[in-house]
Amino acid sequence: MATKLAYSPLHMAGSYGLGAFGLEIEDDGGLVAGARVSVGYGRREIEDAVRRLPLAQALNYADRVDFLASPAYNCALASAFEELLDLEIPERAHCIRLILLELNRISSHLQFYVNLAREVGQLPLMNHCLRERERFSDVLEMYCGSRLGFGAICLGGVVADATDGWFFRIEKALGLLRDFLPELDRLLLRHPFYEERTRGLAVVSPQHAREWNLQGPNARASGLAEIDERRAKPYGAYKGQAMKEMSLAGGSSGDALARSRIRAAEILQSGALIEQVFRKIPSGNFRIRVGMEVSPPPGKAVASVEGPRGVITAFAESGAGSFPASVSFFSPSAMAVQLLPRLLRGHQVEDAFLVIHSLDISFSEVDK
Amino acid sequence: MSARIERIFGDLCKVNQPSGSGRLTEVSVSAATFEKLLKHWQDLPVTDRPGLRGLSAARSTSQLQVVLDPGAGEAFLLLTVDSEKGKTLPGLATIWPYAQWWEEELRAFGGMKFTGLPAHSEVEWRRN
Repeated sequence: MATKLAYSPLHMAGSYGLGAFGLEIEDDGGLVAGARVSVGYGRREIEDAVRRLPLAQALNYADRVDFLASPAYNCALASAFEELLDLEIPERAHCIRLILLELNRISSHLQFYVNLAREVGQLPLMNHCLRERERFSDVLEMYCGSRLGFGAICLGGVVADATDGWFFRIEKALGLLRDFLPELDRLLLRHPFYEERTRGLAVVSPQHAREWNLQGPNARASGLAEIDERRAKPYGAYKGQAMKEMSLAGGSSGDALARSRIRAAEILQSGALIEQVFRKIPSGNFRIRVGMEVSPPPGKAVASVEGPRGVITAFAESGAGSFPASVSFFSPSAMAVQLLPRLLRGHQVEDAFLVIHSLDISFSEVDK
Repeated sequence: MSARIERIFGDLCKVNQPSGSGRLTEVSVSAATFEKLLKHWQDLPVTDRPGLRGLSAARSTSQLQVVLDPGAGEAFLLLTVDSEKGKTLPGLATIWPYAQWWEEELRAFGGMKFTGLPAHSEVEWRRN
């Protein structure tokens, strides 16, 4: 007879009955016979709160939707507001935004490896990943003075200009990270024990990925390389950037192993993109001044950005006055979390946490 | 109207795409037309269906706003569905199974009703 397990308290987002995430597993002799997931109802009301703020201040709230993808949410909402205001952003600002988005992607993917290494008991590797991530937090702090919720992207551009010293620190951090990736491979991604445990675990077929609108690295690990907003709908400085093809050494089999390996490939791709932009960043303004009480004409705008977990879509509506009439986000983790019951069924209960972590779900963006 | 948009909407409604690339295309439809559109999309292969990119309720009216990505690099579409207050709208989960969470959100915060949306079972489960 199957026993019901309240699994969610084992996850940091799933305090029972209050958290952003509830997961109940039916354990049948060590195998998952069924699973039930519930999300939300701990809503932080960010979408509602921004309706009572001028556009420039509302942007800072977007930072808080997902603490691991602050610049991406910020950029999505800023782009939607800029479309409402019909603002033309300087090219230099677009380039700095791209650098910030890619640095954030690297930092978020490193956090993914921190979580994964901790969950499989590779504690020394977890510390090494944290050390690498700290370098990128330092770089972001050097730019905007903050290590979390950066507020780096503002209406009309970015908050500060990029300096040569900043570029130098980024290059140094990227160089050290490239030296570290073989260690990550050796200790985790190509470790025989890890390979054996995750190969064929929770496979998402390309058709399933499409049907369930799986986004970002999760969809790309299922072989859907075209599900990438930077390629599908290039925005800002991504227009005209030749994106380095990822070497999908982990394959595109859609299992937990492919999902964990693809993020290392994306880190390399992001590094290459940043260096590409270093070579062509133009001089000039990094921002055009927009007043705090700016009032857009009534209208609606949609903007999308490829965040670390997939495409983030921001919808903004302006009415009369300087406050947005409505704002809503469409976040990639909300799709991935709904796929969990199907993915867990038939696997061992002790592999459930690996399946959850391989999808890199951020519950703060589910429960906005 | 581009070939892709034509395939998505068929002859069910007229779409005027604004000039200039990247601009949002707004389409307003009745609840009955929306139901027909959903049936039409169900018949299309998954790759040809528009992607759901947002679902919200217009603040002051009982309109449902659906943000769609037509794919192939085309600009976003905003589908506004007119409905009477309290009337049940066709469920979007028939096309996009993951839409159920947003339907649930709109029911809880916007008072909208959708066909096929199960009861508040999760909330009940949390109470137990």
